[in-house]
Amino acid sequence: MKMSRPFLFLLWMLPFFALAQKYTIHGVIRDKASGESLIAAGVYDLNSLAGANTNSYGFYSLTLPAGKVRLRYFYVGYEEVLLEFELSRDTTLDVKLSAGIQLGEVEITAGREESIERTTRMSTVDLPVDQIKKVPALLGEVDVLKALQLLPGVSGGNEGTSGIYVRGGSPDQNLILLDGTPVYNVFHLGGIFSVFNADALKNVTLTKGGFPARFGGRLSSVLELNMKEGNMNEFKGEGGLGLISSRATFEGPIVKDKASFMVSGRRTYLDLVTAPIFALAQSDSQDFGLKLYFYDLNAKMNWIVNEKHRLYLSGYFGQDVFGADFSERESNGASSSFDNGLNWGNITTSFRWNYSISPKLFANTSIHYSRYQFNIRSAFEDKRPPDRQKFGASYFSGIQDYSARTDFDYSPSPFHAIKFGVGTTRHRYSPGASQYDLSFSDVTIDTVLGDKPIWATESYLYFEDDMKFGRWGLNAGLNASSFYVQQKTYPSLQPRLSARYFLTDKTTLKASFATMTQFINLLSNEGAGLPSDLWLPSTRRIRPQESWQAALGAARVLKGEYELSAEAYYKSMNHVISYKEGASFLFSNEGWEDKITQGRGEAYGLELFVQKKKGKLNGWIGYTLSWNYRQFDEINSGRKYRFRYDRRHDFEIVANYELTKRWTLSATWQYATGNAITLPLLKYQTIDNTGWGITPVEVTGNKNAATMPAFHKLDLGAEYKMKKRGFIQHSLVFSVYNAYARANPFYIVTDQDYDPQTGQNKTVFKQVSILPLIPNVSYQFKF
Amino acid sequence: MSVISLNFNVMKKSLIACLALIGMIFSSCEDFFYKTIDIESEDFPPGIALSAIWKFPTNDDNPLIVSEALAVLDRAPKLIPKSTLTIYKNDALAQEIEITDGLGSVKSFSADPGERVRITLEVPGYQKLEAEQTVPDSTRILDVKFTRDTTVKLFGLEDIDLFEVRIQDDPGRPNYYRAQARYIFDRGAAGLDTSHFIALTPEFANRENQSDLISDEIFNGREFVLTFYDFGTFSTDPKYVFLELIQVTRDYYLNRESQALSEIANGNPFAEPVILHQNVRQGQGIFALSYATEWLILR
Repeated sequence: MKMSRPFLFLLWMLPFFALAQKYTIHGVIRDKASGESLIAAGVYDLNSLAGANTNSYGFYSLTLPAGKVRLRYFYVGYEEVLLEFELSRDTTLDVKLSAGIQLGEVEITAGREESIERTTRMSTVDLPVDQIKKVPALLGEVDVLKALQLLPGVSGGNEGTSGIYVRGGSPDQNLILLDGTPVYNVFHLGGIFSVFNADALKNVTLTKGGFPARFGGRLSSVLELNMKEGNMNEFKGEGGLGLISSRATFEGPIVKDKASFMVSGRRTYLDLVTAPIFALAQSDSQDFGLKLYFYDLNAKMNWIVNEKHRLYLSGYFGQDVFGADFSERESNGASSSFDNGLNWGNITTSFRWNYSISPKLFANTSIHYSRYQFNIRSAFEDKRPPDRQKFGASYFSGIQDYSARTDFDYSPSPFHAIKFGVGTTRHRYSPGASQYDLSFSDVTIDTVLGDKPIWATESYLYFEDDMKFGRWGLNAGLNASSFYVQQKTYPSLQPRLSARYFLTDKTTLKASFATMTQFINLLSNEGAGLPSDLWLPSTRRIRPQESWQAALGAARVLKGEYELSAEAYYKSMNHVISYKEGASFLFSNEGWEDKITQGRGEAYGLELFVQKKKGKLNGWIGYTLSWNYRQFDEINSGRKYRFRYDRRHDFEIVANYELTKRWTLSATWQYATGNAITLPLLKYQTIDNTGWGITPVEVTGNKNAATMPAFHKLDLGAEYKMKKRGFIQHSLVFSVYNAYARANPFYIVTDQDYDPQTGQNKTVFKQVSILPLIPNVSYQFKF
Repeated sequence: MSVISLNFNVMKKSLIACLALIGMIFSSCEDFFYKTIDIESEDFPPGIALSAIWKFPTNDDNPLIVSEALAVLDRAPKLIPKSTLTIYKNDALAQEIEITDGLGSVKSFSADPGERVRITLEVPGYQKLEAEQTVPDSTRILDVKFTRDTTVKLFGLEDIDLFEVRIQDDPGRPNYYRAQARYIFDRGAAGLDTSHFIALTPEFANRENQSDLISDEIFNGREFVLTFYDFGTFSTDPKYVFLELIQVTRDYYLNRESQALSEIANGNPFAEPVILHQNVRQGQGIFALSYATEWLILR
């Protein structure tokens, strides 16, 4: 049969059509032992050199030309997996990676690690939870936020506290997300510890700049903490007993490979320890009790419905309780009682639904609830029959969020990773109200003074595309948000851009520009994370905070192990808030808007960072040189002044070393220029408030013109793993906080000292320090 | 010995040793927690401070204080033994006063609303201090009303005396006031008792401890009602209410307010530091004026 020429031509072209066709490989990369999804794990085709990373749910999508593919799956600290096959259709490929050293039978090929120099993201640090757990901790309490304070560009607040100040920003400018839900007050015990139990966490990522468009609502940083999902294969547990608290975490399958759970709890027990002592001191006519504890409870369930759908339900419940009560009874039936206390805490819950709509399109829909509440109370009751008197006062404040969002990941090709989404949050702010309850004889008074709750709605949509072409990488996006409160709308368009250029195979240059808008404010005394912090919205009078930040940097990988980065940044902030001079928050009938003022902020600096994530010796070294200023028309006579945490130099070394199979040693050393403070400058005699008397007065100098002594300390730790007997691994953890007992300043005051030479008192500056050398030992178990 | 009991024994001994060590450390480290330090702060050479807060018209003398101004770590400042105060009204010399031992009073000097008063202070060995103020206007009181209200439940209590004063604020500029009211009791042979002050209701108070200082931010340029209250239970009812509405200068308001706030913040390391407002040039201190309008109302 004779074939027509056009038909022959088409037949000849057919293989070329097949070659030009592309197919998508997609799936989830998980930990083989636990079934936990791996975030930012990499998949890389060694033939075409195209690659992709998993998203927050372990999902990846990689579109490649039809034909032979050689896929390399990798993740830090895990064995690589290499798969070769003929790609001829869209393929679902879930891969499980094994943690630990590489085994001989797996073919390992050299290739570019997906690490700091490849990603377009800059100003971002992924901190392995295992590394966080090894950092020597105060009283043995592993603290995620204190570990973050050891990174360049991140300052802690006062010593011992967990506040983080990122690139000159204040604590309210950090968006802290636990499984996607904002957490507002992240401190226990007045800031000494954070609310995050490291045993419950899977990963911690801090973004300090170059924010992708999917993030919004805060000026200075985004801290993402993801809880473990729960071991899909077997029941596991770990925990510890310490000097002030104990913790336990249990996880396991509900249905193997289908559904799992994780529960983690922690509680201090000073009240339980002191209860017997108080019981001894009590008598028939007197009772007193002390409440002094905090607890955290993390819980999560997840269910793989099928290969397209997955559901998650997670929650966090935490509370700090301080209180004391006393009661006395008399033989004639009279009695009196006091009850004082303060408590604060968070509840967060989230429900999420993952849907792999197609090989290239992934969606996550979630609803969240977050609540923070703070309450101080004082009550007195006196009964002398027939009379009864009662007085009570309480102060309460807080914030509640109800939110929903949908996020899409779309990977049309290896050169584009597109994310877009939409969300909305309904905020309910309780700025602070005082309630008085008084009753005596026939009189009853019950009144509430202070601010009424404020409702506000925050909505946003975003689009970003992470593009790779040749030596260039570019992430461009736009976040459009709005805030509706008190019948006023604040719209905001926030462009975001970050770029990466390969100078060499291992060295990249990076640059970023981001604008951010923040509709929520935190009023706090510029000290520790005291529960007195008030979360307040932008209102008709208080404008949203705004910032823009530009950064330029370089990143390099050395010997495949060391990640080096250097970054310079400049950040400008507008409408930042501060208490007016002398303002107080407590039991005041003044509206909160009258207590604050808005102004400008400026921060710039240079960060140097070297990190080693793998190997017997791992850790990091960081150095920051920075300047940080504020200017308010109503503060410091309108002159620019140093921000309280303007620390010129900040240096940290964190090192962990696996000495033997049983012993692991760790050490951290920090040095930072002292905080900026305002000191009294001069004194004289003046007229008192009556207009007729004489009173001494001190006049302060320029705001924050003085500098506290430098802060530095050495923390040491050691973990001893005992011989494993049975199925439980026991270990002892020893730590010494502030090993050379440096008296770091907590605050400075003036006081009078007797001068023997003159025989009179003289004024001196006194330094208050709170944390000396503190040793600790705790017991840990794992199975 | 089982694994659990072995581990527990090791744990127990380690805990006891730790607690003992912590106890020893805390009990032996007083100097660690609170100690004297040297700290670099701004330099301040010795100077002079003048404090003069005057009211017109007045039957009393207007006081003033002249003090050393010293660095905060220096010795306690003393009053200046000898200085000379010169007062100018509308640029014309009005009085010259020698002040001894740092305490002076200005007698027989008065000024009217709108008049400019400038003072200079000379102290041997120091630069001449200067300050000036313009006498504020009198307050325009439109109406006063006294009611003995047996129905109003203020804080749940009955029988409230309410004393309302309606004023007209000047729209042209920010104005500041002090408001004071007193009962006057006729004690017969003992004379008049003017010691019982009645308080402004809390929503008018600007700061908790300066409850009689008011800024016109919330009622600028408009009529406004100030309300005083008292629970009003006396053996003998007061005969009069004495109302004194004093309009003060901005410097007066800022100085008094900042001084009160700094007293609250004093010693509290977590309070916002307060900068004391001053207006004396070539020195420290405050020169502030006020003008009082008085009403005597039959109760």
